Amino acid sequence: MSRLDSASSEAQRSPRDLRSTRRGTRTRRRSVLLEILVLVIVYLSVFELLIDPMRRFETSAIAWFFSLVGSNSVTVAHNDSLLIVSSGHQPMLTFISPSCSSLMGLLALATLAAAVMRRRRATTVLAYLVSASVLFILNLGRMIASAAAGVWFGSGAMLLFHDWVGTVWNFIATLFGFLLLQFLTSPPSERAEQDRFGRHTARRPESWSRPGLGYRARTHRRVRARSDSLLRWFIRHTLPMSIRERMARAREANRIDYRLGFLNVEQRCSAIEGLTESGLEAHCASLLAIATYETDPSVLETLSKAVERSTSPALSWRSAALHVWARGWQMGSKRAIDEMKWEPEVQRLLTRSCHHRRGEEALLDELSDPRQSLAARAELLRRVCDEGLAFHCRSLVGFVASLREEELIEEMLTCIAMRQWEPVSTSGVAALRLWARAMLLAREATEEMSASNAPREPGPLPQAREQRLEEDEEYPGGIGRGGPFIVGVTGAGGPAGISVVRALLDAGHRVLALDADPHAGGFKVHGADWAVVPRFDDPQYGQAMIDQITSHSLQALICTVAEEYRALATIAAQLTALGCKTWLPDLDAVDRCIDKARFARVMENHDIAHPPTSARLRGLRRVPGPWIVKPRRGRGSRGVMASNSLREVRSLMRNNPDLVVQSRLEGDEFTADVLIDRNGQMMTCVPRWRLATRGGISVHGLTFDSPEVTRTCAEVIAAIGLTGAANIQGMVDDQGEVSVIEVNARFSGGLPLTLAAGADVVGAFLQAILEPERRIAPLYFSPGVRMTRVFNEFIERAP
Amino acid sequence: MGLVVYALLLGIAIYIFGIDHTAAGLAWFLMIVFFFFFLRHLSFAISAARWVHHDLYAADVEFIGFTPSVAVLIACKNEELVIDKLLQALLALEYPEELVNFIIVDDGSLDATGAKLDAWALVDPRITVIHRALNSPGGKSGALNAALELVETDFICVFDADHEPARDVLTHLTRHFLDDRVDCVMGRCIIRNGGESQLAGVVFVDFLSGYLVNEYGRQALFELPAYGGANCAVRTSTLRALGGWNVETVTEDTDLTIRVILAGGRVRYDPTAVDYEEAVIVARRFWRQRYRWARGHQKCTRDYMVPALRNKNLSLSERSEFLMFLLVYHIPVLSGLGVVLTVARLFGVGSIPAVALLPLTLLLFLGPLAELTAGLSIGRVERRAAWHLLGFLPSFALSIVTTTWAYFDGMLGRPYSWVKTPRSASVSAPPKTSIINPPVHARRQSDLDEQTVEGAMIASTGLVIRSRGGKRSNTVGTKSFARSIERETE
Repeated sequence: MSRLDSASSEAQRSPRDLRSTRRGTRTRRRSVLLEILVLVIVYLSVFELLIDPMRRFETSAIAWFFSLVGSNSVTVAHNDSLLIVSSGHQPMLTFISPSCSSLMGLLALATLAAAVMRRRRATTVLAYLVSASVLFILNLGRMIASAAAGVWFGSGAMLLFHDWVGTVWNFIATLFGFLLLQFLTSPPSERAEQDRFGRHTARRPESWSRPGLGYRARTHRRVRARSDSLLRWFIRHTLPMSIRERMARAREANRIDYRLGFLNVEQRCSAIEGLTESGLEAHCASLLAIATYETDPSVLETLSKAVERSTSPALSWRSAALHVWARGWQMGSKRAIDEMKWEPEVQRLLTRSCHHRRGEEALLDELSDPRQSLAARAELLRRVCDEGLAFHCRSLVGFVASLREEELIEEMLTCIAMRQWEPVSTSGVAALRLWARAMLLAREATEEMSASNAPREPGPLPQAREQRLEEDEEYPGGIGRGGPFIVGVTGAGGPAGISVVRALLDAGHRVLALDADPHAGGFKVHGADWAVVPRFDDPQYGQAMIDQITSHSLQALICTVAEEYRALATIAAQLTALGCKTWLPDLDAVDRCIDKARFARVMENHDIAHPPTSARLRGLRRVPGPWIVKPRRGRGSRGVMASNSLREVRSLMRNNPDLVVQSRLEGDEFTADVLIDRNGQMMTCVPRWRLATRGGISVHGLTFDSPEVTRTCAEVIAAIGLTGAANIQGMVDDQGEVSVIEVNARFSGGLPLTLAAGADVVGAFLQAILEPERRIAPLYFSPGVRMTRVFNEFIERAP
Repeated sequence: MGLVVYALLLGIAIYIFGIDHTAAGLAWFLMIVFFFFFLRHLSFAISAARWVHHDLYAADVEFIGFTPSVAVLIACKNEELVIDKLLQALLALEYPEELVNFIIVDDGSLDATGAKLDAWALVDPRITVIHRALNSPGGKSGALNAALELVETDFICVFDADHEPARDVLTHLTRHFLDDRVDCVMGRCIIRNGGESQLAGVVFVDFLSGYLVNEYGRQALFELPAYGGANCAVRTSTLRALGGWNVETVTEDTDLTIRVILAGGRVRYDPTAVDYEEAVIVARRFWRQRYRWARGHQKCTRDYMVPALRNKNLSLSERSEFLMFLLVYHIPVLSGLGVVLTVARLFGVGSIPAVALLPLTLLLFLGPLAELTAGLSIGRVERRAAWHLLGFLPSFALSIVTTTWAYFDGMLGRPYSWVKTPRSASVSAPPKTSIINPPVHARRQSDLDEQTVEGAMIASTGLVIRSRGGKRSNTVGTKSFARSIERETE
C-alpha cells in the first residue's frame, strides 16, 4: 500500500472541507430514499389491503374455469381454497396462498412503472393495464394447470407441478409481463431517438440533439411515417372538442419543434416571431430549446426581444426560465437592467420545486446586502454554490434577480460553470444554467460587435484565407499560370455553357463558344468568339470540332454537355496532337448519370437515399405517387411531367417505353456544384437551394453549408466513379433527410451563384485541365449568397 | 490462504450447526446482501429517471476564461483496423489547436499500427508517437506511464483506440477542472456497433444503463462516480503524485479511481462528454473482456477494502456505497453460491424455509432490471429494444461463471497479465469516400521530404523511438527506422 500512502501524503485534503460541501448530495439521497420508502409502504399497504379479495377472486376464477369446461371436480371451499375431487384420488383441499396470487407480481410491475417510467404517464398507465392483465392471466393459467394436474394425477403431481414447473412458469410470466410493459412504454421506431442498435434515428440537427442519443451512422434507413394508433382514434372519436383542444395545446407547449434547427438564421428569426405571436406559453418548449441550443446572436436577440415584448404572465416553469434567460442576455448585452421586468410569478414558478429550507430568505439578504464587502459576499456565494445549486436554488434564483455587481456576476458565472456535473434536479437550476449561458453568449456577441466596429489596422488573416491567397499568387488575376488561354466551350446555348463562357471571359481568357444552334445565347456574350458545330450525334461532329480547334488554336476545351463526352472521346488523340487539352471523365460513369434507371440502381446498390424509380410498367407498384415521369436519357428538364394520376402515368409509360417514373419528393430542392479530382476525390462542394426554378433552371437560389449534404454528395460521387465537374440535384425533406435525384456530369445552369459565392470552380477546372498532374486545391465559398435571375435580351437586325 | 480460511470456517459451521442450518445462514446472508444491492440499483434508477433527462437537456455553460492545455494519451496494440478513424476524430476535436497535443503509444504492435501512427505524426505536428518494444511490461498502464513521462500539460485525457470522441468532448471533460478539488473526470461511452450481433445489441443496452443510470446515480447520490479507462481526464499533478497508473493491475481505471478517492480527491462524471466505442461481438471476446474486468476489480477489492473502510475522507454512507462498489464483481459469485444452495435443496440438502426462499431473490434482480429500463427510457430507444433485455439472462449466467472463475484464479494467485480485446472495426472501417484524406495522401510529396526524424530515446522498459511531426529526412516510416536501430542495439 505504499502507493496509496504516498498519494495520501501528497494529496490529502481536509475531511471536514469535503463533507461540508456535500449537503446538496445528501438532500438528493434522502429524497430518493424517501421515495423508495413511500413505494415500499404503498406496496405493502396495497398488498395487505388487496391480498384476501384477490385470492378469493382468483379462487373463484379457477373454479369458474373448470365449470366452464364442464368439470365439477374443482369447487370453491372456504372462499380462498379449492376442493379438488377426482375419481381414483383422495379429495384435496388446496389453499391459495399469498405467494400463489399474482398480486405480488402486479404490484412489483406497478412499483417499477411508478419509480422509473416517469415520462408519458398516460401511455405508462395503459401499458401497465395491458401487461398486468397478461401477467394475471398467465398466473391464473399456472394455477389452473396445477389444479388440473391434481385432478388427473393426484396430490403428488399437483405439488410437483406447482412447486417446480409453476415456479419457472411464474418467473417467465413475470419476466414477460415486465418486457411487455417495457415494450409498450417505449416509443415506436418513428418516434424514437435511437434504434435498438443505438443508431441515431430521430434525425435531429447536430447542434440541437441531446448529447449522445444515438450514434450518427449513415444508415439511410427510411423511418416509417407516424401511423395512426388506437389511442389517437379513441381520442378523436370520443372526447369533446374542448378537451381535445386543451390536450393539443398542452402537447404543443411541451413539444420541441426540432425542425427549427434545420432552418437558416433568417428563417429561424421569423419562426421565433411566429411562435411567440400568441404568447410564450403556446410553444414554450421550442422557445426554451432555442435558448438552450442556439448560438447565433441575431436569433438570440430576436428571442430576447420577443420575451421582452410578451405581456402575458408566466404560467409554467419553462416560460419563467425564458424570462431568466432573457435577463441574462440583456445583462450580457449591457442593457439598462434596472428597467427590466422581473415578475414575482417567475420567482415563484422557479422556486416551487426547490427545497423548503429555513434560513433561505436570510441567506438571500446576506448575499444581497450592499453593506457587506464584495469579497465577503463573493466568498459567501462560493460556499453557497458549493453546497449545491439545487440545495440553495431559492436564494440563488432570487440573488440573480437582484445581481448588479460585476465581481459577483463573475463569481456566479464561475460557480454555475463549475457545477455542471450537478444533477438538474430543480427548474431553478435549469434557469440558472440558461441565465449563465445567455450572459456569456451575449458578452461574446457584444465584444465581437464592438471589435468589428472599431477602426483597426489590418491584422493577420486566418490561416485558411492566407493559404488561399498564397495559392492565388500562383495564378495572378485568376487567369492561371501561363495564361490567358484560348478556351473552347461546348454547349454554349445552354445556361451552363453561357455561365462558363462569361466566367472565362471575366477571368481574361479568350473564349470560343461552340453550339449546334446558330442562335445560341452564348454566342451573344460580349467578347466571345463563336462557331456553329453539328450536334454530338451527327457523324460530322468530330471533324467539325477538329477544324474549329485547329483554326482557333484552342488550348483547352470545356465540355458542358454530358452527351458530348462520348463523341469527344473518339477524337481525344487528335485533340492531344493539336495541343488542345480537355477532361474526359470515365464514359461508363457518365452513362450512369445520363441513364436515370441505371442511376437509380447505382444509388440503391450503394444504399444512398433516392426516390423510388422504375423504367417498367410492372415496377410502377413499387413507386408510390405522386409521380414525375421523364425521359430515361433526357436532359435540361425536357419532357418532364408531373402527375397525380396513376392512370395517366400508366398511359404515358405504355405509350413510350423510354420513360422512367419516379416518386415526387417533398422538401427543399438543392443543387450542389462539385469538382472531383482525377482520383475520384471530391475537392469542392457548393450546395445551394433552388428556391424557384423556371423551365428546370434555377432562377432564385441561395448558397448554404451542410455537412450532411456534402457527405451525401461525396458518397454519390464515389458510387458513380465520376471525375471532373458535375452537379448533383437532390432534396432535403422536413426531417433533414437528404435524397439525391440526379447527377449531371457537367457544370450546372446555376453556376453564376456558385461563382458569386466565391468558389471559382471554372478557374479551378480549367487549371486542372491544363495541369493534369497538379492537385486541385479545395475552394471556399460563402453560405447565404442569394441569386435572382432575370431575362436578358439581345437585339440584332435579322439578316 | 483466503480460500483455506473460508473452507475452514464453513467446515466449522457445518460441524457446529449442521449442514441445514449452515445453508440457512448462508441463504439469509445472501438475501440481505442482495437486498442492499437491490436498494442501490433501485435508487440509481430512480435518480436517473428523475434527473438525467433534464441534465442532457440543460444549457451548456462554456466558461470562456478556462481553456487549459491538454495532452491526449492513447495506448495502442495491434489497432490498425481502428486507428485511422480515431486519429481523424481526434484531429477534428473542437479545442484550440495550440492547447492540445496527442501522445500515442504503439505498445509493441505486430500489425501496421506503428507505421500508420508514424504517417499520422507527419501530418500533424501535435502528434507524438512512442514505440514500445514487444512484450514490454505493464500492459496498458505501462504504455500510459511511458506517455506520462512526455506530458507537459496540466491535464491528461485518455481514449482507447477503438473510440471515436465527439467533437466537443475535451471542452466537456476539462471544464470540471475549474474546481481545483476535482482530480478525475469521466465522460460517457456509447456503443456504436450495436447492430453487429445480438451480443453487441445487449452490450449497447448494458452501456446505456451503465452510464446513464448507474454511473449517473453514483454521482447524483454519493458523488462517487468511477473513472473509466477511456473518455476520461485526469489532473497531471495528481496522477504524478499517485505514482502514475498502477502496472500491477489489469483494471488501471478502477485502481486509479480508488486511489484518488481515498486520497481525498474527487471524481466527476459528465454524461454530455460523449464518445463512441466498439462493443465485443462474439461470446469468446466478451468472456475475455469480462474476465479481465472481474479479475482486476476483484484484485482492487482485496487491495483496498480495508483502507476504504478506515478512510476518514468518506462519510459512513459514502463508505457503504464505496464498499458496495468494490464488491460489485463479487455479487455474481454470491449468486452462483445461491444457485448451488438451491440445487442442493433439490437433493434434500438444506431443505428448510430460508433456502426455499432463495428463488425469491430473483425478484431482487428487479434492481438491475430497473436500471436497464431507466436506460432505455431515457435514451428513447425504440420499443423493439425491450427484447434485448432477454439477452441479460444468459449474459448474467455467463457473468456468474466468469467472475467465479476470476475469483478463484485471483484467490489462488494464478498469474495474469493485461489482455487486449481484439477489435472488429466493421463500423469503424473508413467510409467509401472521406472528405478528410488518409494521412499518407494528406500532404504532397514535397511536404514529406522536408521532414526528418527528430530523435530516439531508450527507455527503461525497452527500446522506445519517439517520432514527432515536423522534421524528417525521408519518407520511410519511423517504425522500420526503429526496427533497424533495434537490430543494431542487439
